[in-house]
Amino acid sequence: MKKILNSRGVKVEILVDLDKRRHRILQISSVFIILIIWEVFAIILKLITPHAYQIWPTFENIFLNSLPQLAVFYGMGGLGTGTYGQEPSYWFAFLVIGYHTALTFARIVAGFLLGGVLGIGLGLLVKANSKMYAFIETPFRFIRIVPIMALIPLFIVWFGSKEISFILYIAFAVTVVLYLDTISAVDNVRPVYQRFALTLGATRGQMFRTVIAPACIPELLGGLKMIVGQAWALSLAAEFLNAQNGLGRLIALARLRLDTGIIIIVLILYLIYSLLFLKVLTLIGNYITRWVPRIER
Amino acid sequence: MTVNVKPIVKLVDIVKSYKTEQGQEIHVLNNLNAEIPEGEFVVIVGPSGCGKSTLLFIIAGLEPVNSGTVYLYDVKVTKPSSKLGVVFQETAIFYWRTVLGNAQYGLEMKGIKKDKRREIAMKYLKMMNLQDFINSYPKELSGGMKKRLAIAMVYANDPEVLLMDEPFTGLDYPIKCRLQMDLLNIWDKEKKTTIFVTHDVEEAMMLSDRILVLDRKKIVLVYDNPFERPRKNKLRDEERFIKEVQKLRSRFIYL
Repeated sequence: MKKILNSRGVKVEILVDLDKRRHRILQISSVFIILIIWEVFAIILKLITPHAYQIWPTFENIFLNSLPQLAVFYGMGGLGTGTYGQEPSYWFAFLVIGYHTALTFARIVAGFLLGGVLGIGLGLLVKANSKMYAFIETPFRFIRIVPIMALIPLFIVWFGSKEISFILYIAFAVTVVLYLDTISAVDNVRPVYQRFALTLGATRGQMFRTVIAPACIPELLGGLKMIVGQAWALSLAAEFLNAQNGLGRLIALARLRLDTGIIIIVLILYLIYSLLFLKVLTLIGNYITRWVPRIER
Repeated sequence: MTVNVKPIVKLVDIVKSYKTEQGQEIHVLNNLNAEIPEGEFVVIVGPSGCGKSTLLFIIAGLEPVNSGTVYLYDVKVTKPSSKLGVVFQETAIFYWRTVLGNAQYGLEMKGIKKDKRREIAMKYLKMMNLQDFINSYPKELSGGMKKRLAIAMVYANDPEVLLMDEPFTGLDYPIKCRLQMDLLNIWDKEKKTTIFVTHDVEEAMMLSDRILVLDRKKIVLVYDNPFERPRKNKLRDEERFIKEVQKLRSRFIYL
């Protein structure tokens, strides 16, 4: 039997430690070790050749040289148009990051919302109406197999580089996943709920609205959380290939300038943003599913 | 006792069989007939797996029959409706609604206005002693309280017949006894026709006006309950009660 301190600070004996939030020190130290290895490697490469920073920049390179260099992109992609050629500075770099972040964020949020509504709506519709299901089933079998990143050129052709193109693209990816999740969630609703609703006088339509839909919410939220990472990755790819602005575009510009440091900065930003997004989604989700019985820790 | 009252539920020549996954045909009910008069508390007992729950679902309109008919007030029953309220063995209350929201569910589906709904729901929640929890979510209720909520939900809906499928099975004995008393209390106020299914003979003896024993695919015994109402918990310990339960139990063999 292991002895641990539980959440109230009391020493208790447990058989199996299921709490993933323990060993904080170990969690952080592994990240530290990775960062240290990175830096050591970068320094070693620098000793071999001074141009190594272009492939493997040190932290100094990244934060002292590349970060202010982002200011150079001021005047591109709609930010401060007409004022090209800014000197490297942290302030303008900050503006650049802020502007492009806002654009990417807005596209992802819009796409997520649209995709969520469409995916869940379609899933519920198809479960309520078996004729619709039979109709949509076959094309969807093919759609779900196609790797979504391969569809970027198609969206470029159809919608160009406008905002709507990215929003629809993200929405499409989210829709496909949530559609399948909704079908699975509806199938998992205990039949006794349906029976109970019917014997209480609900029509099939009422039952769908007031019983099946709410019962699916916890499972659907789980599905939403799982595609947050994918949505951000797809947005990166689409913006990289296609956009005039947004974080993915910054990576493309950085590549043109052979500035690896900027690429790493943007990747770090992606990490932070997608984790933040997930955190906010979790908080909202916890409120929406406040009625779900949870196992008491 | 209830000889001259008109039958409200009639079961005529009910035949029911299932096909298993292996393709075998299992006969569950074979030309079952029964009549239940208005206002009676009927308990159907039998060994586990004999088809009691199936019969109840058939009466509720939730299961089709191979042949035969169920009549409610001389009207054929073909699908579920709020006229035949069911309390299921598996507690089916809605976790995403508050206690009050749950109690109002049936009334809401009928389109009854908010104030009236609340009034009716509160009335039955009070009868089931849940008035202090109306704004709580079901996850905060104990097992017994959840059962009481289910009963309140169905009663608030004012069905013509109340069907209960082993609702207290699996609960521990003291809670079971308490819930039986709660049920008798609320039944006492409105004398709603009730068909209660169980395998517990003591429970049957405590609750019923009449007991129908279901065995070998038919009703094999109709038993008039001799004990007068109102019945209290202490009746369980009385010798004549225990004797009667033993006698009834010995009339059919449990699997």
